[in-house]
Order: sequence, then C-alpha cells, then structure tokens
Amino acid sequence: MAAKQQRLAVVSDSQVEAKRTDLRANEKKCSWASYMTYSPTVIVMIGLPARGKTYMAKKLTRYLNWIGVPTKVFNLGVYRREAVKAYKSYDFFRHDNKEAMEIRKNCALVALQDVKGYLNEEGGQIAVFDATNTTRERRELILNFAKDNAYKLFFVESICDDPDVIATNILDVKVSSPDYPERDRESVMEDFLKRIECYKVTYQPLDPDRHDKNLSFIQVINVGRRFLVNRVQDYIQSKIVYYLMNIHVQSHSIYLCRHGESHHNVEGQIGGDAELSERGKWFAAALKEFVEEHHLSDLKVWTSQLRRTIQTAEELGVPYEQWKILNEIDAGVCEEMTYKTIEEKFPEEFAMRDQDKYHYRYPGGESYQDLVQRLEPVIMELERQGNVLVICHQAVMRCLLAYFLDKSADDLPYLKCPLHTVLKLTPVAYGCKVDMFDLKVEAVNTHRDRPLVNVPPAVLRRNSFTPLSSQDQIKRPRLYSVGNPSQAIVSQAPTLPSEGTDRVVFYFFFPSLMFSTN
Amino acid sequence: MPRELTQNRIQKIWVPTKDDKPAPRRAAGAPHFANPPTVIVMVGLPARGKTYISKKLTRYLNWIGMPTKVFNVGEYRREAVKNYSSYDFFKPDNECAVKIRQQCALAALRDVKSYLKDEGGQVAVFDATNTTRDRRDMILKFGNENGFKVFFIESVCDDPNVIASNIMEVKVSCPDYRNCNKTEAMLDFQRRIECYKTSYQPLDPDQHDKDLSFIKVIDVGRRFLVNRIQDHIQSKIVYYLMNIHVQPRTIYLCRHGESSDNLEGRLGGDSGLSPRGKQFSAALAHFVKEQQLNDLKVWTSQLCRSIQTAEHLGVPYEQWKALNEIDSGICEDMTYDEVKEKFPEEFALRDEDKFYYRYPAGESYQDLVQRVEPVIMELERQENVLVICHQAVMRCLLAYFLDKSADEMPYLKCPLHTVLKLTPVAYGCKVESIYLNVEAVNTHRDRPEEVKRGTGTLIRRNSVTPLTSPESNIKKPRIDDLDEPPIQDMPPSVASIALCSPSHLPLALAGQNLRMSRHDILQPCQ
Repeated sequence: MAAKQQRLAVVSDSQVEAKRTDLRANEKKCSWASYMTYSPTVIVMIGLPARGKTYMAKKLTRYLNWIGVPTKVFNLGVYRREAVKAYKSYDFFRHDNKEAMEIRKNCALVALQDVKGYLNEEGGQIAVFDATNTTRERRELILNFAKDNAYKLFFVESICDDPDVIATNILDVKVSSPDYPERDRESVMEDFLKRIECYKVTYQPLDPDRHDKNLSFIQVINVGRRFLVNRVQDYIQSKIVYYLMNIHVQSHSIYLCRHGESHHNVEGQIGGDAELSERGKWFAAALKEFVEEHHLSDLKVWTSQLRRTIQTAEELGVPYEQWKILNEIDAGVCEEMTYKTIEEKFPEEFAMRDQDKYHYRYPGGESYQDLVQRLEPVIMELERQGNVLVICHQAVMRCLLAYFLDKSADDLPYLKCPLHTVLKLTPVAYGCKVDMFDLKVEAVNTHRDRPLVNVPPAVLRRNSFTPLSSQDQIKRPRLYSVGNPSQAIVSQAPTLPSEGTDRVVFYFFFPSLMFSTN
Repeated sequence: MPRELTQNRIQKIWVPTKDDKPAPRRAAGAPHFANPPTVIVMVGLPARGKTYISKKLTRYLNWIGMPTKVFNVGEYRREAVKNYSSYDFFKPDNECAVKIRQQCALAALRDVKSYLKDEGGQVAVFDATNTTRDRRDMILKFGNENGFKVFFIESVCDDPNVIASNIMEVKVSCPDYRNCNKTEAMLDFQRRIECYKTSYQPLDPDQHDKDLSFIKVIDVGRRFLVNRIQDHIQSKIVYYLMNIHVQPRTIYLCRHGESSDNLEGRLGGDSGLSPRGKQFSAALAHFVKEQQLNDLKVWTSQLCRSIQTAEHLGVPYEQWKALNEIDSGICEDMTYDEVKEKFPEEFALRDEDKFYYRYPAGESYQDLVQRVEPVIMELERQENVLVICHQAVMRCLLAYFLDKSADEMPYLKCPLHTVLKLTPVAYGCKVESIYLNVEAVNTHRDRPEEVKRGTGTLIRRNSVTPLTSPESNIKKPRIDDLDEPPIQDMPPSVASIALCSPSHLPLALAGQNLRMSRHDILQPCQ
C-alpha cells in the first residue's frame, strides 16, 4: 500500500499526468453505455391499450438512465388528457370520431416536438414514445420525423391475446387512471374494453415478412413468452433487447441488506475484508429469524466474496452464491482508512469526492459510476429471478436501490442504507413498493451526509419519471392549438423516511400517487 | 452454528469448513445458478451455418468458464462409413443408410450423456440437421430421461448466395469430397440438401413446438425468433447469438508501447511510455495507415500508457475501464523479485495455478475473463477494431479468439511492440503476428519448469470437436453393430490443420526482427 501511494505521487508530477488530467477535464462525464450510443434513438412503443406498453416504457427508461444513458418517456395519454380535460367515454377513441382524431394527432405532434427538444437541446439520448402507434400511417409519420432529425428508430411492439393478462392489467393500472375518477370498477372495465375495440378496428401489427421487414424492432409476444427480433442495429438496441428478454412480470420480492456490522465498521475504516463484530453476528442471527418468519420459499441468497457478507449468510443455514462483482466499492489507496485519515493524508482527494461523489474515482480504485457498470449483470439476473436476498455493502446497496427506486446519479451516493436493516422491494404496477425492516440490533452509523456547503453539480442523469410526476414537467403540456390553457401539475416525489422505525411502507411511482393531485 | 471460514489460498475465496472437511470445488467469480446440464440441439438444412454457430458458441461458453463440447454427428457418420460415394446416402428411402445415421445419432447421444454426467460437462452442443420431429422427439425424450434441459437453435436461411458461399467455404474441402473437384462437390452437396428438404419440419412456434425453448436464427442474424427462455445460460446464449455477425473484418490486438514501469520490470501501476514506447506508438500510427482501413475503431484501457499510445494515432479512440490491466492488489508496482522476496508464498502459489490465482486484494485471470466479457461481446458486434491493451488482458482476449484453455491462457506470448492481426475464417481465426521493429523489454515469464507437467485437473476444456481432439478421438466411434470395418484413418494432414489453436502458433515467432505472418486456417467439416 505504501508503495502505491509513493508511486502515485511520482506519477502526478510528470507531464503525462498533467495531460491526462486535461483530457479528463475536457471529456464529458458520461458512462460507457452512453459513449456507445452514437446517435439519438427514439423507441416507439406499439400495441393495443392494456398490453403493458407503459410498463415496459417506464421500466426500460429506468434501466437506461441507471446505466447512464439519459432517457425519458413521452406518454401520449398524458398529452391527450392535458388537451381534453374531461374524459367522457370510449366514444373519443372511435376511429370515425373526426374531431377527436384531430386532437389526438395534434397531441402526437406536440409530443414529437418535445422529443426533438429533449434529444437536440436537453442532452437526452433516448426518447421513449409511449402511445399505441397502431396504424402504419402514424408510424410513417414517426419514421419521417426521425429521418428529418437523423434519429435512429427502434420499435417495441407488445402483442398479447391472453384475456386474463389484459384484465389484470386494466385493473392494476387503468382503473386508477385520471380518465376514470369516480367510477366503479365494472363500468371502467367495460368502457376500457370498448376503448380497446376502437383500436382493434384499425390495428396493423408490424409485419416482419413484408411491409416492415427493414425496420428495427422487437415484438414481445404474450408477456415475454416469445420474442421476434428484427435487424438490431447497434449496441444500445442490443442492450434493450437483452433487457426486455430478461424482465418478467411474475410477482416476486427482492430483499436487500448489508452484512452485519464488522470490526472495520466499528473502527470507522472503509473497505477491507474484516470479520463481523459481536453485534454483527447478532444481526446475522436476527436475519435468520427474519427469513424464517417471512416463509420465503425458494429464496435465493447472494453474497459478495468478502468475509463479512459470507459470515452473515453462513448463519442462515441455507445455500448461497458468492458474486465477486457484489464486492464493496474499491477505495484504492484509501482502503482500510478512516474518513479522518483520508482527510489528513489526501485532503484534495477528500474534497473532490464531496464535490461530485458519483463520478469521483478513488486513486487506484473505483467510482460509483464504475460500480453501476460492474453491477449491471447483477441487475439483469435479479430481473430474471424470483425471490432473492442480496447481502451486500453500503455503496453496492445504494447502486442497486437506485435502480429499483429510479434515483438520480446525484442522489445515489447519499441514499440511506443503514446496517442491520432489510429493505424489501416488491414491484407493483409501474413502480416498486419498499418495506423497511429494522432488525433491532444496534450498529454504528456509517452514513456520511451530503456536505451542505457544496451546491450539487448539474445532474447528468435524470429520473425517468413520466412527464406528469417529474418536476420539469411544468413546461411540458402546451396544446395551444387545441385551445386548452395548460395547467401545471406537480406531484411531490416521495422521500425516504427516516431510519429507526420498525417497519415502514412507502410507494414509488405508484399511479394513484402519481395522479393524486388530479 | 455457522461454519468457520477459511480462505482458499489460490483463489482468495472464503469457504466454510466444517469437521475439517476439505473445501468444496472451485468457485467462480459469478454464481453457477445451480443449473442442470443443457443440451443445445442444432436444427437446420445442411450448409445453414449450424457447425459455425456450434463451434463459435462452444468457444464462447468455454471461455466464460462453462465446460462445453460439440458433438458433430457428421463425424460419427464418417467414422462409421469411411467412403462417402454420393448424395444417394442421404436419400430418405435409402434404408440401410437411414439406419446407419440413426445409429450414429444414438452413439453421439451416448457420448453426450457421459460428457454431461461423468466428465464434468455442463453444456453439450448436438450438431446435426435434426430436421424431423421424430428425431427431435427422440432427443427431447433423451433429455427428459437424463434430467437435461434442451434448447434448440434453428438456422433458417433461403438466400441462395449465402448457401453457395457456405458450401464453397467449408463443404467442398470436407473429407467427403476428397476425391472430387469443386464443381462436382458443389453439385453433390446441393442434391444432398434436397434430400433433407423433403422431410424437413421446421420448428413451429405457433402450435407443435410452442412449449419448447428455442431460438430461430433467420437469414444469418437479420431476424430472430426466441421462444420460452428458461434460465440464465439460455438467455446468455441468445444474447451472444444476437451479437455475432459474419461480415468480414479484422481485429488487431496489441499492448501499449513500452512503459517506464516495463523498463524497471514493475507490475501494474500507471506509468507513462518510455522513449522506445513512444517510437512504437509512431510505428503503430504508420502501421494503421498502411492497413488502409475505413472505420477502424480504436479502443484503449483507462491507463496512461495505453492512452498515450492511442494519442499518437491521431484518430478518435474510446477508453474502457474494463480493459485495464489485471489488478495485482498488494503487489502493484513491485518487480517479480520484490514480490518473491516480500510474499514468497504468494509468489509460489501463483506459479502453481496461474489462471485461478488471485492477488491479495486484486484479481485473477479468471476474474479478468469475467471483466472483459462485455468487451468480447462488443468486439463481436463491431467490424474493424484495434484494441490497445495490456499483457494479461490481451492474453484473455486472445484465448477467446484462439480457443485456448485456462491452463495455456496465462502463458500466451503477447510481446510488446507486436500487433496480432486476427481475421475470422471459416470455423476459426487466422492469426498474423506483426512485429513493428521497435525493441522492447521482454515481460513474459515462462511457466516454471517444475510445474510444467502434471498441473492439476483442468476445469475448462478446449471446445475442439471430437475428431480434432486426441483424447476423445480414441474412445469415440464405436458403432459395434455395423460390420463395416474402418478402412482408413483420417489423413494426418487434416488432423494437424484442423485445430483452431495449434501449438505452432506464430506467437512464438513474434520476437524476431522481421515482419512475418503465418496462417492457421482450420477446416474440419460436417
């Protein structure tokens, strides 16, 4: 370690280092995935209503943002509701309702203008155009739009004939839609099914054999049972396809926790490969009880390859798998130091980390950004699995949590993941339900708050909130031509509750919350 | 009671010990997901690239640490019937031949079974046409009885140009056509395809086969139909198949120019180039120009020496952290002598099993393979790429392209100031080693004499087909009930060039002051 530090000093003197620092400063702080996305892409959803388009759009957007590709959903329904405040009935969606057709087309045009603004001016790399797009005419319009702006297009069509799946979907997300404020379930279901019929009349699915054989697309058939993939063009499209093939909609829960308190935790040292403290062992025992109490059948347990997580898992008495990529962030030259020592020995490094914690890379070590890239296969496999308990580390858990809760790069390194606390994540509708279990074994606090002095830097990553729930939505709906004055709608994003409570339940991006101000 | 943990000294993995029981089998960096073995069943008419896919996929799976082997029924058939006369053999009404072919399939399946049950194999690729439902039902039943998962890969292609070029490339040089000219061979082979066409039943995703797990690869990767992926490995396979392509292209691998740490014999670190290292960078710029490549992509690591090398080229380049040199943990910046002095035990352990050895707080070659896997995936997607990397990283990449075993990988020769030009051909990879005539220190450490022989059991295997692999060759063909005695052995010439990774690889020549290239083309066939 001493040798490492010494060498570091030598190198930093040389011209070489100067030049590279230069380079680094000039370079955009973008992720590898974002590097590989050469030209902006518009992902166009296709499918009848209640085929899970919005689900896929949101989930995909969350994933892409997390891997560092700025992505945003443009949901046409939101624009339409903005233009026509009071939804009456499915009549609006009849293909022979000319007035309504005009409004709907205008909404699409406005949304595409916003797509353009996002990709050309706001630093966006991918826009997800979430609408039914069931006619060739509409898709032709989008194709021309993309051609004019030199965007790549990738279509995601969801095809589903299973009436049960469709009914579940309607109950899950449509009944709570602002289109149906005060109605009972049955009439909503009826109206919505009629609305689907309106679209069926004119639906032209993608035709891989003739008409659409030169387009790039994926057809997702019967909720992921089958896929047809045509002409994948580039890295990001291949990533998208891989992701869509791995997600599933079976209900499952993911449990995240850190190892029990370690000796290094007690001493305030970071990194290392220390053993559990006495209290850490109590936590491991408490975790065993927790797992038994919750009757988790087929629970898979994953650990890192560091001793403290393996010791924690050993106590459970069930099989577990070790992943090296779940190891804690590599603090490089700062491994096994306390924050105080770092501040003394490397005051400059210490200050830089506070400035931009997400992008800051420890000398000879990793940044949170590096960590996200390292953890991507874990996320992919978590999406594939059923119930999993991941016993990991503070920085790793923050990265995983940020994926599930759609947290920005700015918030990610400050998420609270206290020791001896289990987070239960359950996907619901478009978001994720979080239950927090404090297992009532005391532990040191390893959290360092965001320093107050520094104004956080401009955020490169964005949340993938739908326009309505995102703060920057204020400037969004503006259907002037339709004659509806726009009205700003902002709903407060929920925040993590304070720790220490026995069990807290809170929701993220749950539709009813999202539209609560309506 | 939780078990005590002890650290595996080679891999630095914490393993529980109870009742002094020995540590369990070697763990990998990633979970195994405790899957049952998988049989991958190829489906498709002749000349649809089934063998190409089988071999390539097998190479990939072995490289990521999943023991995989191809079982090519054509080779069993040639073993059983030494003299191929004409396509008559493949006529559906040639009863005697049909029986032979059935026997060959059964013999191959027996070998699949013993590979997966007794020899530690995890994936067997059953490379045959498997064009009829009867045959596929037989395989499904076989999988069911033995608890193997079955995954089908069907290659569908109607483009006559693709088929013709495929026949020319790999079929006319096949041992079946030893004694005919190319035109005759082409003609016979096309008739052979016709024989299969009459009974071909493609996988039917809508009705008959809707519950099977499969991928249809349509028109050489233009379109894919994927049905009912069951697990991690199938999902990996699908992702891989969607990323490979067959456009001709070239991959160039080299290390950074000589660094000042190289001069001092130090490991790792992040030093700049030496004067000779800079000379190499200039020579590399010249070399790249000479190659006259449009759209050459240049990738570097995020270490100073590889970026400095790329800077000389005057073209855009991309930095991958995943291409950084192996992390030697507490041994970073030391010379081998210092390591030997300070950590004599670690030093000896590394020699014992270099692939699995993990530096304390650092990485092993095994870790490295996992780290550079996304690079391989992206290399497969790209066309012409120059990768400027590091010794251990280059060994990992090279091992993938040349199908080298875990045992050989850490000793592959990747000298400084030498570019390896890799060109995919037929089922393998042509390698040219180009020394750019700028002297550099030698950073290669040979395998120590005392452990050269008799290293422990190898977990990873080469993915060579039975005929090119000497060990499996001996016990393979045994169709006892056929009374036709083997007439002649394979001509030695075929056997010797059939390997993707011959020992006389030009790497050994790379230290000389001459530009030289040798081509290693492999050409076994179905």
